[in-house]
Amino acid sequence: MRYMFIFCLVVLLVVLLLGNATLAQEKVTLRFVYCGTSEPEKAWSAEYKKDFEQRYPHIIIEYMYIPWAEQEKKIAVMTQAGDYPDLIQVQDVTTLSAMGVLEPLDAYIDNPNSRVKRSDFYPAAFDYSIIDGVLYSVPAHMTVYGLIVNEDMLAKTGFTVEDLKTWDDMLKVAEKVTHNEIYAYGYAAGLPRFAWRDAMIAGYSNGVIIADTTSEARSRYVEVLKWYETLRPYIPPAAVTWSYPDMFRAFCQEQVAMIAAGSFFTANVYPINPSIVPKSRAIVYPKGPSAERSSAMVANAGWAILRGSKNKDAAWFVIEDLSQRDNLAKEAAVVGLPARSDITLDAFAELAGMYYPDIKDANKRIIEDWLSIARDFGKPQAKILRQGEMEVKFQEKMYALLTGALDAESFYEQIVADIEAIRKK
Amino acid sequence: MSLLKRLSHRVAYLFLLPTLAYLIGFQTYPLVENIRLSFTNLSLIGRESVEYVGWENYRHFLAVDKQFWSILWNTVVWVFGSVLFQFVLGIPTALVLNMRIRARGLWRGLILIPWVMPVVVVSIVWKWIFDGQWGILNFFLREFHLISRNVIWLGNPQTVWPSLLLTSAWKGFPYITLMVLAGLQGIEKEVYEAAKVDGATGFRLFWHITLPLLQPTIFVSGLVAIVTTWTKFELIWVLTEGGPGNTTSTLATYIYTNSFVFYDMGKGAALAVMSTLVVLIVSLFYVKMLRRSSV
Repeated sequence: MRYMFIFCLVVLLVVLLLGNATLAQEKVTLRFVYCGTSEPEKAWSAEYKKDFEQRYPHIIIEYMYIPWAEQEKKIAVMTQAGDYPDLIQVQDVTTLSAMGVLEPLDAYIDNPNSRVKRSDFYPAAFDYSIIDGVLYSVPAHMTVYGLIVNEDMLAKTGFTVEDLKTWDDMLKVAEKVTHNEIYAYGYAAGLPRFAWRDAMIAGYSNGVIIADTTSEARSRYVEVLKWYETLRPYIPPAAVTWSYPDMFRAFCQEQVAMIAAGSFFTANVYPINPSIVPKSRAIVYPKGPSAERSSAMVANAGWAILRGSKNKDAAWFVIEDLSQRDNLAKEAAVVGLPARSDITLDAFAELAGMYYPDIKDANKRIIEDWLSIARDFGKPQAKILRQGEMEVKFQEKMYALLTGALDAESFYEQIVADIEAIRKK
Repeated sequence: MSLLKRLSHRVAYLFLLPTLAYLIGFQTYPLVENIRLSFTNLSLIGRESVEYVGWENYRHFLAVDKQFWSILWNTVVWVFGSVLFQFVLGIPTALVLNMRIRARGLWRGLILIPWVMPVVVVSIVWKWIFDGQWGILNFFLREFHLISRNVIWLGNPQTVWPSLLLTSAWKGFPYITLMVLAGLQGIEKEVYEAAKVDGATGFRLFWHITLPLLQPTIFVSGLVAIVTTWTKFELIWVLTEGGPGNTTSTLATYIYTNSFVFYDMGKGAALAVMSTLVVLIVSLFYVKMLRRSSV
């Protein structure tokens, strides 16, 4: 009887031990919505997955590649159907957090055992992940917006990048540059998202956010619209149908000399014409008439957890790993600037050089430009609820303005009414 | 009724069950649910509870939204313009392919290419043709000195509709050709011979013999073309996204914008119900015309 009891105990112990071992090794599969669909981004994601799964074999990453333009819509539909992925790459968290599909991350990041700290990041970039005091994503790369200028085209008209301090300076350049179907300013006015973004960048340079409908902002807002009215002869007529790829193509083919864009510039122009990067400089968008000094929007792209995920701890574990200095630097090197402040320019430029080997030095120079814009002029990008709807209304009117069917004052009156009606929802 | 007969009826119902389940699950339920949603204020952004709002969403579009009526008109232009152009291209093509020409089988196969190509691919190809900066149409027109400056085909209210209708007609005309060709082959040779004996030739033969005998085919293929064009969303979306401004927005793109850009599901559902009703009325009117002409 005693032997029998000991035997049973041993068997139980073995079973328990094996059970624990099995549990410890139980594989978790994380569904990861990744929005980088360019070849370098896909290459990075595949490389990261391989490396991560080698280090942590119990966590399997299963990517769902969804382009940025589709991301919100797909997530809206999936989550309505109760189908929650675990991890998601996000930019603007305003809409997704308003939909209630993102998990607040404060408890995770503030946990003493967390391998990521708030202080690891550039404050302006980190702030973009916070809505009403709640953290919804952990930044990976920082996006800074400004004006990108073709130095050669400027030089031909006797100007340098340093000459571009105000809108008036831009206008002087525009008058000289525009001739024989070569235009000064490229504007992706064909899609609401980009028509709005361009005006946001210009608005920041004049101290106004174009969703601001208060009477105090009126004169600055109208100035921004009048600015586009003034720029009209210097913008290619086809720009009213352009999206970002068209704008970048025109810049690469030196059909336009200046574009307002972000620190994703290199990733976008490199596949079209790498030799444009050595000719390009990024500067803060020149100052508008009512601003004391210009400022530049700073946003980020990062990682978030879906509220309905059943593997939140594992998802956070992956976010922590992605946010480690080396991993974050590698990801940011593909598309933009690192959101962590402890990555040196030299080390980062070296990494970026792996993806853009033939323009390594030129890319380093432009990275330096972007970092100095962020440091000297950076302000967190405004988080605007129902921005998508405002963008549609704004683009309708911008089309009318650029084709001469609407003036700046009427534009302002109409857009204010539209934005206020949208806000009332 | 004998036991065997009753059993065989039950088996027949059993075989119908999968189709019935499909129809209920994927047709009836979404339709009913969509109608229900159209009476609510369901929004995916920033609204905690969903409330019943009665006819408010319908009233919004019919009485408040300034764009709705112009968008409805755009839809009518889009649908009837597309279908008309499809027939203008499709009937002559069918007549040619019905003649004894060399390699007729090959031509009949090749003509189907636009129809079998995915809509998105067709749209992207035509977008490149019409591109205002780098488009091949502008390139050729300039080469032949027909224009001196590029035309912004998809960015100008005067040229955007003809461009869209041409694209839609190119995509859809092979279907009309195919149907009309089948109709032509069903016309007895004796009818033509009798008409020729009476002195009819050329265009008179076509007008008085071919066209009347093709009427049932034309009506049926026309109805199918109207319904498919009414819901054809991708082509406009890829080419213009409903722009410039709202110039080329149709009910299909407006439903999408309301539901998946503004995330106003209640309003999107109301638009979808109205769109279904309009196409239903148009179809009924069309069928009634068909019946009257058959009598």
